[in-house]
Amino acid sequence: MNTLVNDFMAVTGTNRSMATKYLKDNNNHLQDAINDYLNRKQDPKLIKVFEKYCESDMSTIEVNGTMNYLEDLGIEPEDIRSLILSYFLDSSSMGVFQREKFLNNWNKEKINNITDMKTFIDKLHDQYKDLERFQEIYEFVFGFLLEQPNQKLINYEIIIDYWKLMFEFLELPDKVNARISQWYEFIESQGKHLNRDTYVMWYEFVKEVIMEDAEGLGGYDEMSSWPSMVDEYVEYLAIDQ
Amino acid sequence: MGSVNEIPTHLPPGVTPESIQSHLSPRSRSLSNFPQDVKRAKPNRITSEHSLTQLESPKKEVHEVIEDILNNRPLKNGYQYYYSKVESICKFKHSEQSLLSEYLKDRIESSFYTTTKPNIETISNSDLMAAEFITRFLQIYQDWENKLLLLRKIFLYIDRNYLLQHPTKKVILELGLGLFIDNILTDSTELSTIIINKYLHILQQFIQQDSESELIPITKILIKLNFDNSIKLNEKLISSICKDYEAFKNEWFKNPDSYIHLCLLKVSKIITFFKNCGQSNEFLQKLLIKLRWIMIFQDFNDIIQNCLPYILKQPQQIKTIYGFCNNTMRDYSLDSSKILVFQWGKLILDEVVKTINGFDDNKSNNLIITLNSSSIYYNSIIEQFFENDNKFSLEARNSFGKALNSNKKINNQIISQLCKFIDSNIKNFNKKSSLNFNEFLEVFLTIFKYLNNKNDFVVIFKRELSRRLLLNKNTNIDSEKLLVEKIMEIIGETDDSVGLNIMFKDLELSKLKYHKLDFIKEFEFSTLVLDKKHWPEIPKQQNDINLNYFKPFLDKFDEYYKNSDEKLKNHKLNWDNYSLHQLTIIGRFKSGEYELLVNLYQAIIINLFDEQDQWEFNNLVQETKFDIKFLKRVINSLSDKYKILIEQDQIITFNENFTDKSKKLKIPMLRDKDSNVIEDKVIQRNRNNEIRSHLIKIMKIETKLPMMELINKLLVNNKRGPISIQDIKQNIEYLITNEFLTRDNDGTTLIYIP
Repeated sequence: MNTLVNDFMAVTGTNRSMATKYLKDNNNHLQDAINDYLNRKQDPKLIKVFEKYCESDMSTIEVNGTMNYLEDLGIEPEDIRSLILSYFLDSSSMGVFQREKFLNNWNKEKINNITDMKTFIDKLHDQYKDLERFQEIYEFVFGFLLEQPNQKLINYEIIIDYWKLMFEFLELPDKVNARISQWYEFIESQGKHLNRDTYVMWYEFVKEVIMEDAEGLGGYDEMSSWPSMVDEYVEYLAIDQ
Repeated sequence: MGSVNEIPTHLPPGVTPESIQSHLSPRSRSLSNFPQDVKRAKPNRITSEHSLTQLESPKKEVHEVIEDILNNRPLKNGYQYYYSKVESICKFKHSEQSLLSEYLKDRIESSFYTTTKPNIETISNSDLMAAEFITRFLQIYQDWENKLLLLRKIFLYIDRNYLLQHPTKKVILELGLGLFIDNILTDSTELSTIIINKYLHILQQFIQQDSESELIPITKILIKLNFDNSIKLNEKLISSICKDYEAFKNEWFKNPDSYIHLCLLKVSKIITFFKNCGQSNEFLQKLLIKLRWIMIFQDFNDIIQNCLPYILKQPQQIKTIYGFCNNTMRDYSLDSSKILVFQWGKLILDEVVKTINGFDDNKSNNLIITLNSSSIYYNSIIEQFFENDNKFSLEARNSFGKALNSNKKINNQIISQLCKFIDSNIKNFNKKSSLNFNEFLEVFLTIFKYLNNKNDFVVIFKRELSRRLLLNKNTNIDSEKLLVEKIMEIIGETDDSVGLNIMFKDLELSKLKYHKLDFIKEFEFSTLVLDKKHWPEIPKQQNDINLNYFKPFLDKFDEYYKNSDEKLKNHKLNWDNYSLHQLTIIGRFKSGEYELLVNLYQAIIINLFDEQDQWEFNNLVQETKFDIKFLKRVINSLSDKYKILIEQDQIITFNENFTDKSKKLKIPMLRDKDSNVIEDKVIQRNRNNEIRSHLIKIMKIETKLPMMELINKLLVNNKRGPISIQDIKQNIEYLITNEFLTRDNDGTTLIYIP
């Protein structure tokens, strides 16, 4: 019983007496209790939207549902908006939305219908065009792309596709974009898969070094703590030119 | 001036100024007896008119002789004559003594001011060359001194009995020279400045060109006149000489090969010169220390860096410098021997790196011997010149270590040269021309001890050792064992080193148990069973190939092996290491029978041609299930140098017409290109593990550390093989990826995850 109460509190963030009450009402069935709690709290309209797309167990929207959902929102799967939506709903992996997160996050914004959702995502889309602001989405994407529980590396081809999607969205200056496409060439020539550290630090490198001086890379210091891939990239550029 | 030279002729035999002096001395006697007698007699003495008139003529003569001397005129009478006149005047009455001395003083002063001083002023104001000036100055001085000496001779009575005893009056020489010093030479007078400057100018020339003769007299005189340091001669000399040396130093330093030699020579020369001129030891010591500072220790680092290579060949010089260094703490309160040690280390480092880089595998005999010789050479220098100073041997060892470990390329070269050195020596101990085992071992150990990454060496060494043990017929097992023992002593037991012993055991055991097995009757069959873990890695495996004719025999052995001991039951035998196979088969050709020495795979292929003379390549692949590339290599080996098979358009034919001079042919297969890569991979893997464990060790202690500091810490403490920053970074990233470490939000600081 105690574990159930703790689990309930962990999921819903309520106190002990609330947890006990809901569990009692639902014959100590955790999932039912949680749904009961969420349904009572959530806007029924919003729940309807969720249940339109979710699987039969009522707990997640899977790939098929997501495709329909995106279509209703008028978002192409290759559109950066789909990433922004995934980030906003804290999706654990591609095309999957959890019930709690879906309901909680929309509820926070007091949005309960497709039209408002569409407007909201468009608004976010414009806000995230800023390099600094976008970083949180960028860092979210790596975890989002991991498929296995203990996976540490991601195939470089997949990452390059996402990089292209994200950096094109950011509309950086031409000189910066030229450097970034050289980075893709370099990564392809290496053929090595990438870890989170290199992935994250590359964004820092774009922000701190390439944006400052795309041609000379004056801010680059070999003795600084860039990942070895970045060091090799700079070396690669030096040989290339 | 002529009269001065004639003076000795006036001296009566037996009477010299010295003898008079010595007659009167010791001074104590004249002090205690004589003057007191005079004083006591004085009040009672009665002077008569007669004696007063009697006094007039000697007085006149004495006054005349003073003028004669001061004007360089010849004397009318001998010294003794005047001496007795003076004596009689003085003895006549005490007041006459005082009067006469006053008169004499007056005359000396007047003569000095009217003649000597103006003379000096004249030459000082003319623009004579320094050398000429000094000669003239010396003449004037000598003239003056001669006059004073002559006067002293004649007035010796007054000089010794009156002036010397008198509390305020000066003796003649003191008076006269005092005038000279006070008016001409005393520090900061106008004349003195001119004279001393001219003198120092000549001194400078002397330092540069070594023309000392004319300098000695004037130097002696100046030193003499500086008795109470009123000229401040010593200070001026030291500062001027130092300045000169400072100026010449740069010029001399243009030839670093002779610089130290020149310095020692020049310094010793000037010291000797002043010593000969009568300078005090104190002065000499002071000058020496100053000059040494300027010439050698002021810029010691720079100087020794450039000169060390040359002076190492000059025993005397390097010994001297070493001795000097040990005194620098006393003389200058700083320890220059540290710099010498440092530069010594640097020199060795440079030389060793140069030797290695300049090494040409084809020309020289062996790099290891060359390096050993230089190690011996440097040790001999330490022994001979540095009194076996520990600091120097330590630094030499350090430098060798640095040279052999700091750079990947050199490090690899040393490891491979060490292996070559072993390889070329270990078989040949019986030959007269080569090293004997102990000599060999000593050379090997000398260089081996310098290696930081001894384990990397073992990996390569293992490969070579296995090759010698397995493939060479005349391997000297005992020497190999001894060598391995020594290596183990040094590096202790590690995974790799323990393997070395197991290699020998495997061989012995195989010889004992699996040699010429009798259950195979078809041919002679011997097997070496080697533990895969400890023998160098074998080439890529050939999976499920068709062993054809040979399969039953190998299976038989497999069974025998596994049943021979309960423990061996689960062992898996692998026959893939084709470079170790040795099969002798008989090939029958039109020209006769040949013994072919081949490996198992070659034998399988040849064997197939017993069935049919011609095979299509694709069929061979199907039949044997060899990897295509590998099959090509096998066929190549059989159709290249020895054309047993002929390959044409994918069709392989048995060459019946094969002939060769020799009836016994060893048919080698070219080594797989990447067989060396395996060892490199092992080394790299070992090294990565080392780096990672080291990184973790540091981070466990520090918990939080900027990445660059972590890299620095690792580099500073690196006692292993050479590593690059990239190596370290990659390993840090490995640790980040595997969540041993994480980056702080700033991106540059690393945090240890417990």
